[in-house]
Amino acid sequence: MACLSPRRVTKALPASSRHNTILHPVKRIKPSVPRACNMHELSIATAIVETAQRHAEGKPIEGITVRIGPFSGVVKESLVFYLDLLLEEKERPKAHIEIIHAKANATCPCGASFQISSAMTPCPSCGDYNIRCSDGRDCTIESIEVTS
Amino acid sequence: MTQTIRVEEAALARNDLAAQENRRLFDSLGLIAVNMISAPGSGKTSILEFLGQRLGKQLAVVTGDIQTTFDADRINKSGAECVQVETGGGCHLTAEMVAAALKKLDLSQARLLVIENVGNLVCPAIFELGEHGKIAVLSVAEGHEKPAKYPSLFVRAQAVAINKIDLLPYVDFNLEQAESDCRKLNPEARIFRTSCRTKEGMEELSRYLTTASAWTAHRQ
Repeated sequence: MACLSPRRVTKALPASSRHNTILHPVKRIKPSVPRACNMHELSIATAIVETAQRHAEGKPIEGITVRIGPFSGVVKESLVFYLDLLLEEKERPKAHIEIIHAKANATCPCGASFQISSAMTPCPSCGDYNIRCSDGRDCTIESIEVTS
Repeated sequence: MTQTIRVEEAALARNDLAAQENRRLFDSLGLIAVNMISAPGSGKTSILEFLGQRLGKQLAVVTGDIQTTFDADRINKSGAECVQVETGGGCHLTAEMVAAALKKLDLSQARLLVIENVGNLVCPAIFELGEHGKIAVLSVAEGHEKPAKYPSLFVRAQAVAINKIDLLPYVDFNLEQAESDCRKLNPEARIFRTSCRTKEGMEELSRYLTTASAWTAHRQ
């Protein structure tokens, strides 16, 4: 996410003229973020392409496989949209993108162990919602395909 | 010829590394660091004003907004140490933004750092900033279904402040449903009912936020 590194860090003096009662100087920073970078899937897609390019070591990227957990907060369609855009721009059009929905491992105080694919799922054994999930928040680049 | 290369790397590995650096700084300073997340207008800044009046410079705040310094103006006036991050369109704070903001803060007296994220129930939840834990703020005017509709945040938040509780008689907010959904999403979540106007629940919330063991014992 090189695009998110701060461009400039400024102490704003004086405070906004619309707030003419302000008594304290306000410290502020304005990191350099592309204007279009306002959905987190774009930040994530950018990071994925950077990682893929590092592993590809200059070879053309043909495909990327990404695994997302049910609590990753990532919307598959949105991620694919941005990956398509970025790969078309930086690599080649029609790169193969595969998104795998991983399940999360959960345990219940009743002793049951099971897998779930969404939040607010009750224990299949006792019906209680008091379950613990050990994973499911990940968004992981599983593999890439390159032309060798 | 096509070759498959195993990667197995987190998409946000770079952000996570920066978050770990932030965490090291917090721990070396003995700071409790809390990531405060909510929709716009739920009362994050009002809660921080209350805390600022109590704690003064013992409270440091990194506050994120798309633009303006309105929030930092208010928090500074309350007596806390504050820096405004203007993301210029970015809908969440990243660990690198927080690292840059921390350099502008005088943390010499601080014991609690609150990172007031950009008002948004979606994106801020998934970017780790190095915090010890997250608190979600939900105002009753937003509707009781928000925890169920935005699970990414509420499965991660170790505490939830149901704010503007004084407005309960005037809105169709099912408190029982909201609290029950919060518990289904995170059975260990600590839930507070707060009002910055009547001060209901505010002392309790303040005590919780400033109790190191409440945050450092929690698994990220």
